[in-house]
Amino acid sequence: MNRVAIVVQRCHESIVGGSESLAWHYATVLREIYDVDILTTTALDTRDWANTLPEGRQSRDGVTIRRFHVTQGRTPYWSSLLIRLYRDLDRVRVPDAEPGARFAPLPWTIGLQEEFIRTQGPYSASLMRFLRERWSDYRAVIFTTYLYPTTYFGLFEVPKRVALITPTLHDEPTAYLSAYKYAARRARSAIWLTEAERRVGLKLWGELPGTVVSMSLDTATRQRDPAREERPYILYCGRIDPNKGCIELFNYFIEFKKMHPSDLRLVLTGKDDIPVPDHPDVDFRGFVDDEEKLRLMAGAKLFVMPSGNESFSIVTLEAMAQRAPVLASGVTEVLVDHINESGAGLIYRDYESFAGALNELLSDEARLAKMGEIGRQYVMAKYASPERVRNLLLVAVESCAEAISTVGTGSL
Amino acid sequence: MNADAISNDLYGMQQVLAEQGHDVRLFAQNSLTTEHEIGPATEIKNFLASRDDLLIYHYSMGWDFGLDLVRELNCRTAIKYHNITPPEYFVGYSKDYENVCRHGRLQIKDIAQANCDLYLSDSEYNSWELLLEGVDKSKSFVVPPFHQVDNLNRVAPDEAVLDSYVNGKTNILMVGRVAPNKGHATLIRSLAVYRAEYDPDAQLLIVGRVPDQLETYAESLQQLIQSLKLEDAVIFTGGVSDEQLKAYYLAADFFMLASEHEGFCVPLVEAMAMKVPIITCASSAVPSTVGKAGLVWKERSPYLLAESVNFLANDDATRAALGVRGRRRYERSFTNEMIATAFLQALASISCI
Amino acid sequence: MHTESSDENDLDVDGLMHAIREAASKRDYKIAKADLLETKLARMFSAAEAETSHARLALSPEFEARSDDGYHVNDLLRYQGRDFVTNAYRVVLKREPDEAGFLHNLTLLQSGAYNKIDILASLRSSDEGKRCAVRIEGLKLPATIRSVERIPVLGYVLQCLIGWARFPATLRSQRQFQEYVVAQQSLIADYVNQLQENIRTELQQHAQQLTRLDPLANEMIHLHAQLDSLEFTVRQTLPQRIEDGEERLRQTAAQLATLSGDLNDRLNNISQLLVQTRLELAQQSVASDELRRELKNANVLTERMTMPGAERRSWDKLYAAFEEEFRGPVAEVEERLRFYLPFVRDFSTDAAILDLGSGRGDWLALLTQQGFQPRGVETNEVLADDCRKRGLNVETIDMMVCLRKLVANSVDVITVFHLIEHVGIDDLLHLLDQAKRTLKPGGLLMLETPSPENIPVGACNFYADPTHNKPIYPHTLMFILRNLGFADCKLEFLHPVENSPFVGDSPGFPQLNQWFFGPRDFSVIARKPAE
Repeated sequence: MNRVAIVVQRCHESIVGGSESLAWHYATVLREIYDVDILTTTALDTRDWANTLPEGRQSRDGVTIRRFHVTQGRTPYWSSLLIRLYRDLDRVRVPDAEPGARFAPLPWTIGLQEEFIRTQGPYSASLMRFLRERWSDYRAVIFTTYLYPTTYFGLFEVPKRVALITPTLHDEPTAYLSAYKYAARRARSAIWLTEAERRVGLKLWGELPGTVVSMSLDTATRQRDPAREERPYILYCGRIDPNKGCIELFNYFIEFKKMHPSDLRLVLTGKDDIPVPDHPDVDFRGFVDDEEKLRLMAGAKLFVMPSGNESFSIVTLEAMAQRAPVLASGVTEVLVDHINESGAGLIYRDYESFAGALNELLSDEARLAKMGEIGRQYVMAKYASPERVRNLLLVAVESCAEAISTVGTGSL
Repeated sequence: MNADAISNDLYGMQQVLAEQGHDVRLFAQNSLTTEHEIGPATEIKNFLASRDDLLIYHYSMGWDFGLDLVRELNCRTAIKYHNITPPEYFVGYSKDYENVCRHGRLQIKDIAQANCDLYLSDSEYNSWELLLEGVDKSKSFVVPPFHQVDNLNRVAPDEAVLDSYVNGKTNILMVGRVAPNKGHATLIRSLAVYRAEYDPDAQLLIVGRVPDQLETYAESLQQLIQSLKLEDAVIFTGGVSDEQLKAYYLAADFFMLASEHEGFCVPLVEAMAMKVPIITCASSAVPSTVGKAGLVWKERSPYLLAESVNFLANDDATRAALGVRGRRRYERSFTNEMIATAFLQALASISCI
Repeated sequence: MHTESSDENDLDVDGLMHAIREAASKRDYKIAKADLLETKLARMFSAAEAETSHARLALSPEFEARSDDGYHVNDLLRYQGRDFVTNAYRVVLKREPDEAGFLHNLTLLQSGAYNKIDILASLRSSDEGKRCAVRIEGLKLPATIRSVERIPVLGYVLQCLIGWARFPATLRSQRQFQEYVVAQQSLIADYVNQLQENIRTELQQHAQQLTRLDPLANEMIHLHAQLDSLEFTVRQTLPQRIEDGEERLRQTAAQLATLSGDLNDRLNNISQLLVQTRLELAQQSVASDELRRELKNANVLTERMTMPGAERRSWDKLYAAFEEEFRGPVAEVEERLRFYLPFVRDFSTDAAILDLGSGRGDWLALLTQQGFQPRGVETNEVLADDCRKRGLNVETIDMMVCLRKLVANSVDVITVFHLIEHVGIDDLLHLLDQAKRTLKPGGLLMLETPSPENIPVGACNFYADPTHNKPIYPHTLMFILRNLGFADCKLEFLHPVENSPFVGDSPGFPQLNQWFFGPRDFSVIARKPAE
């Protein structure tokens, strides 16, 4: 039995998403040692989890992907539950609290919480049945991201001793649902991305066995494409989504261009869930492949990350590895952590600080270069070692295997 | 409107048998629903013409016509025994109910000795009653009643109910007919103790119709409520839609049951499926339905019930674990698929499939 | 959900219930049992009441309608108040009174202005009454009188007159009425008392039942608690005991496993030893075979050594004499031996020369004459003694023993004359081998032996000496010496027979000459190669 399963809600080359990238990354790291199966759904779009891709097995880069049909996608009914969640959370908000303690316990029964989780989607009855019947084919089953029913209900289908969870947790409203705490405890141990994430986990879910495994990034430097990118630009990569702070970014940038005309552009790549404003200096490239993305990063004056919704922010670190200094929103601790630790960029909290930072940096080439260099070193030091990641993952997976062999007949 | 438990069992059986390719029809003396086609009982003899046919008689009250049918038909006969509330419970509330139940309980013997081919019971408790009356063990099978949990899972909960009750107050839920054997008085007393000792905001939600002729019982409960000053704390919802029922389950912190007599108690299965922690008193079929998936007290003590709520209200993790236990019990023993399997197995034993 | 679960084992429902029970038994609840039980009594009362056998108090008899519609006025007059009005309607109008009519007539009656006759009359004379046409005997006259009494002035006078005339009757009626009222009142009083009595007895009964039940209930609760705690204890300790038992079993099993492991190891060791021993035995048997062979060889050579002394000496004597007889005269032998002198002269006079089987000592004597100091070995004691008497250095020792005792590379020349035809091939090889070992590099080995190429020698004369073994074929000897590593091997045929008749070239003569008159002996001279 030399197989490992990774459960994730979507899996496809065209997907722009943190937890999906993480699942794929771990799959590629582990495939040298184990046969890796990615268990996922046929959905591509997180807004409705419609069954787009074909069901069944597919092989990509030495990893087997098994896709299962979604039986419960997202419906407007879920939106009403979400509104109710926000409203009820608002009533128990704790002012000036630190991450993980922003809300008092929510008066929702487990039944209601599970209704929320399930109708959020994607829920796949056939994937659950597969886990229930075939978990013993695997040395370990790694559930990616705490949020979705694939992980939440999947953790009921496999015994604790083979279950691992990669929460990708950060302080967001849904994290305060107590049901997730009990779900996380159904795993043998947790795989954290950063020490900061583990701290948030401690606050929200209590003490859990786990290690900070993090991930390793593609840090080979790329060259900018001088022909295409003669004008200077600041870059954003990721979902064009209000949750990612994009509206604020558009507004700030357009305002900035009004006050400070120049040939500076805002280049965006990713999937536009909301329309990109039609402005001569805003250049939306759509979905680009990894190579193109990294080339753009290499040539950017600055990489801007307005999102408050990052648990790790792979793209930011990728940009730093390409020597792009970072301009990040102060809303997410993770980004603040990265930048404060490295000194490879600046934080902005509002329009003034945004504009101020742009002016300050764009006129100081030397400082930009220095920041870029620091950023690259930071990433190289912490996030460039696939061996380290692989070893830590190996330890986690093998501890499951140990448990299997010591459980003989046991009391089942 | 969601039908009562026995009707759901009938519909469930009809569906399963129809899927097997059989020609199934439902008959009753009186029927109140237009959703399903129900023929008058007098036409049964015409429908069941050949020896290979099967009559399944759902027995829940005395009915001479039914007994005669079972004795006279030359086709195969099966009894589904849903148990009959002992008449003592209706004394002082309804002479009619009392008489019907007395008649029903007396007729059990006749039914048992009618030598039917198969005796199906909702629960072990029910089957023991039949065995005591002389039914052959080899003919007796336990098949839980078909239920509507799948439907409950599907529907969206009623927003108004959620708005009213998902508000931080502790909600104790009971689902069932407002009938004297359901032990509402004990629940009300338990609420009184709990509010006085621990949580003055707790509420008791009693979801279920008050049947005709049992208004006196409902009134006596109201008197009790008033004497204990619980007018705002106990809510009788009357009959509810599926969406409202679901909302009540989602809003319920606990499901409490103090019935003095139950043949199976389908709401327990609904609560288990919705992961609501269960606190009950042991009587008749309740322990065999709940098993170890909830608290089952031997005594009917309001103090123990109140303490149970207190203990669990302060222990998130145990509540969650109890909920998981309930769900597991449901998935292992009471899904409609499993009930269908047990049902078909029982029928196969008399070569009816 | 999967079938294997950790939750089921983690959640201890029994323990939880035990804890809840403990807490409940210790707590002082604000709402006492009595408050909760109160309504139980109420419930019992209402149930009791429904079953009550008390008749309702009826102060007046039930009304019975008549089918023939024929009544007497007294039938109705015996009713009072409400009952009267109701029954009046029932009789006269054949219906229940309507609310308005009922109140109206009742008020009229109660006012005193109208009496029952009036009411009856008015009802009867109404349109409806006329339609019903009920006969009421005895109504007409009083009704008429009453209507007359209502005529103004005259009516009042009439009323007084009638009243005065009826005064005794009125008094009687008054007394009747008093009695009636009293009777009714005592009826009521009796009823009330009876009711009170019944209630009291019922209460007593219920109280008794309760008091009976109460201890029973307590008993039951107590028993339940005991049972629970027993169950709990058992459930707590039983698994532990079972586990302990299992633990012991496990340990025993482990011990058994170790023991059997040990036994296995020992068995393995033993079987290994066995194998080894067999191997050694095998090796030893090989070795002993070799030894046996060597022993045989040694035996052959030392056979004579092992002969008892006297016998040995006599045999030696015989052989010595034989030698004398068959060897030939000393001068002749000496002449022949001179052939080897040139070879020896290459060495210095203090060279180590060893002569094996020195016999009469002829060669030794010759060498000594030449200034050498040879050594000889001879097993024939008689011959050896003789040599020693003549001052020659001869040892009575077997030549193989002698050679083995010698250090390697220590002898310059070894001579073996007319010896090798006495020994078998194994010993010959041994001898040559040892000779090579003990010779110094560049040392010489000189052998002489009868040549079987001379047929009379090989087939006949050879056997003159009974101790001869077999003739040695000269080229074979050469082959052997070369193979053993000797260098410069020279083969010389010596001592042809005189007076051969086969001279000349006549057909067959050279061959016949060779065969019958050819050299009697051959010699081989070989050198141990220099390093």
